[in-house]
Amino acid sequence: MNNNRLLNRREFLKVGVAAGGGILIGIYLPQFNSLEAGSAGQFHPNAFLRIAADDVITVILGKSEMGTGIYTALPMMLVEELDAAWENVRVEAAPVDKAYFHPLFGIQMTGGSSSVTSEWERLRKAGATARAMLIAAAAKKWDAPANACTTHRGHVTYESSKRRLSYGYGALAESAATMPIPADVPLKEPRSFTIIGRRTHRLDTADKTNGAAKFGIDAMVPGALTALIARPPVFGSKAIRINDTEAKKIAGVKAVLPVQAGVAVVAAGFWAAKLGRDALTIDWDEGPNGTLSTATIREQYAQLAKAPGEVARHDGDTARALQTAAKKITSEYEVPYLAHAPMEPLNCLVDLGSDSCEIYTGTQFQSLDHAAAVKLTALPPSQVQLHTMLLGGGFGRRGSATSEFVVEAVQVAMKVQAPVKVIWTREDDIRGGWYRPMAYDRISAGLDPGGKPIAWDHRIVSQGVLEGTIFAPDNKDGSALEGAVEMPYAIPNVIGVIPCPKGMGVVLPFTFPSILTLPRSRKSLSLKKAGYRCIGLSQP
Amino acid sequence: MIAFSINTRHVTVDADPSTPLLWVLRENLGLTGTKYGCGMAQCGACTVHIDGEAVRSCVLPVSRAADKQVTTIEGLSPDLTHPLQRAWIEIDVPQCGYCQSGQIMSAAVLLRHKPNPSDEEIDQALAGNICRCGTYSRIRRAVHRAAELARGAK
Repeated sequence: MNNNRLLNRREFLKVGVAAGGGILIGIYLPQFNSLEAGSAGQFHPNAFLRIAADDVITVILGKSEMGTGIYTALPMMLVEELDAAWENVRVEAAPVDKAYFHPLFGIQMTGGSSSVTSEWERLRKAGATARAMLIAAAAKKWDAPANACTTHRGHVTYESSKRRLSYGYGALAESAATMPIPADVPLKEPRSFTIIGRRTHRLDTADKTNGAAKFGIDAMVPGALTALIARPPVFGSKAIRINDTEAKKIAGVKAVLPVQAGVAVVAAGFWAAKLGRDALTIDWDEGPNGTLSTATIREQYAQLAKAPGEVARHDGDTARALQTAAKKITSEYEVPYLAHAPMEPLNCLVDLGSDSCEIYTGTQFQSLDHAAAVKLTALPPSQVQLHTMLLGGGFGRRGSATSEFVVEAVQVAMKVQAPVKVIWTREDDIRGGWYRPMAYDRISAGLDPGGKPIAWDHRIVSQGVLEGTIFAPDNKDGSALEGAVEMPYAIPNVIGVIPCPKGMGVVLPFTFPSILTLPRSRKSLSLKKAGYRCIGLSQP
Repeated sequence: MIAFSINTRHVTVDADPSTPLLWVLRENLGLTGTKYGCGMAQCGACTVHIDGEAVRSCVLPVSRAADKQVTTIEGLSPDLTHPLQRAWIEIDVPQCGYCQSGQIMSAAVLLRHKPNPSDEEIDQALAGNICRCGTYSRIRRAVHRAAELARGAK
């Protein structure tokens, strides 16, 4: 991901009165903002910050906590400018809203190691703005000049030769919400930071030490059932005969339902669903992928590594330099498909009513999951709520361009007419993809008589993971090349070629280059059938 | 009906005796601090105590808990004052946090048997508890720190 393209457009602020008193502050990126400038009190769920009358500072985050510490790092940025007491800071997961869109990617998502960069300015602005308005409210109350008021750890103080006044933020919050919004608030210089850059205790440690932390798998609503899905043994295969007689005899099994993802066994709890699933007899049509294997894919990749392909970088005359080099070395490298294997297997709870759909899951792609559920349920977007839970690991696996772990849960819920939580077993997770793509690299290097590299020919055979997703609108996917094209070594003759298996006819997941995911369907694709497309010519 | 003690509270649950204790804890008793990771005693996320010893609740039939004392992460201390919890908080051990209940429950048994464990003893005792985030070095530090705290250190 190229983070230096982060937008720096004019943002605008909204401020409102919180329910029960207090101030709400949100900053909006105009290009993504769907909200009309209405009455200040009406934008409640979309704020970044809420200051309550009891001094509690709630930072509302659209980013997902999957272990990176973002539920601490982002509040640090905001609170640095707000000048509040750290022990009063809380975090709340945001609903899905354009206010929380990633400024670069245009959706609500977490990934690409981009959260601190993308929120750096707007969260600090939200904090600084709130501080300025709290000062303005205090100054008005005290009839004192605002520029003579100071703040310290959640208090505004005014001191003159005649008097000393100090109010906590909570007491000022409601009147602060009625102050004019400052057009431009100065942000601190890094040398004056007191929180950023200092070791700060994580806000989520206590809850992760006594069992209180709620992950997606822990979400519960009254009457919820549990479903396990018998998933195809081969990617893309279909169930052609289902015998559920034995499964339905298991106490607690409520229903056996064919769904897009396989065959769902819905039961009172996990164990009954598991026993029910184990008792199913399913005949699968394995389809064209039944014979595909790692060995056949490797063979194809090894061939492709010697074939022409799209030229991604070409400096100098690598072919000639290789020919004339004093020494030539060629090596081939291979990495396998890898399951992300987050500790918490995938899961999603859906509580579907006649005019509402509540989704509870740990996800990295809120906007896409939400849109997928809106489409399936045909409900107005405002009636579909996605509650982001803690993620028991993400690694890109919980950012799926197909939202499959949400889609399947909504589909099951639509059939059972009860709240239902679909849980993937560990076996489902390891077998079920998406995977980080396999890669096969062939590198030829030419050395001069002194042993210095003068030629570098790098061929990368790997499926790009962005192709076909909203992240590669022009269908150009550079993700397989990262680190190779921008190789930092000063070698005069370089050629980088990707004879990639491209245009594979499936929707691919978006994942992040360091920890790529690959859809399970890709493993199963008959590569030849899907059709390799090799563009450009280059010979070593 | 199966009766046992859970975090010093007596309970009777209506569950198939073959149901793994994990699901009874999570679904019947609402104690979701104990986690499902693998369902085959390979990852340790489901570790709880039965009569003070660590067990993998994902493979232990609930019938085996009958008339015994079960302790989960929620019952380790009422108020985060167990030395392990204090050490975990001081060192900020967890990242995603999903494995941490199991890590702490395994470490609690270790400290009871070996109040001053060596690095090797910690590694060995916690070898069955996987952390996908890789917090192992902090876990080890925190177990040492908990041992200190248990001896009355400040």
